[in-house]
Amino acid sequence: MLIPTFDRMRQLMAPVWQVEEYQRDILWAGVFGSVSRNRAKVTSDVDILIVLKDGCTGEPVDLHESMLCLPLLFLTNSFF
Amino acid sequence: MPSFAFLNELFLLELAEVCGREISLMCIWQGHDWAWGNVRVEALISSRTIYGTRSDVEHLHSDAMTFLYDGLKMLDLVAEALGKIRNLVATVQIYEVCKLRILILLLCQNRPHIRNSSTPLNGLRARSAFKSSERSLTRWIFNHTITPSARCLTHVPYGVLLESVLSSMAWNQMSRQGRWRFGKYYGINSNPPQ
Repeated sequence: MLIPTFDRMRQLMAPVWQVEEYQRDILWAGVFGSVSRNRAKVTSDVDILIVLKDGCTGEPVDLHESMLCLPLLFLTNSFF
Repeated sequence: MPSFAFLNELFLLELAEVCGREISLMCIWQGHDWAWGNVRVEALISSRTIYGTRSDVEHLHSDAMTFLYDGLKMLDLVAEALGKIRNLVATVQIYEVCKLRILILLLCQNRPHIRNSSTPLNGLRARSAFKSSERSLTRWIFNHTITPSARCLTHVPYGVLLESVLSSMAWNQMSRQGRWRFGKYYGINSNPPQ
């Protein structure tokens, strides 16, 4: 396993950004953290930041689902 | 508002596969509250471009820098406020600690880019709690525990003290929490924050 340098990771990920489906929503992507500073270790993960285009949201669906379930949870707890 | 379709296991697996290692993915969707949690601000400022052009996100970068410079100005106010508090309550240390903790909590409100991002529900709960108790709490702090001359501190803008927390203990801890939270949602990194 090689040490992940910024240039190498950028090169490896390049084909992913060319996917049309992703290009439709992604405005910009960047790498931050140890890889961007070229201070990564062999086992380091890659920290990626993506900025979506206007009109897109990345809010996790489970958040809404969890909040919607809360009243139900209270009801069932008090009922039983 | 359409949810972007690619933020799923497949997208992350694809990235992880080409990189040959774990991926921590963070997302910014544009809007007035894009800087929810300080982690996004930190990430945006320190990121290096791998797709697109930097000028496309220059407006966000500008916002992020504004947050930082605001923080710097507020740090000066914090130092000044802390000095006043220290002078006023030098002989009663326990009040000082108590007051500072409450002040920091109060000042956290309505500043989404520096709010603790561990869970949105915590934010909701804290916001509703403080909404009802803020006025009485502030009155209690400044009218009953320190001398009247310290009442000017009630006019310190909200968010002043929090920047000092942001730059010290909260920054690293909240960064880890934010990343873990995102990873948890999308199955990338299941390790809880240390």
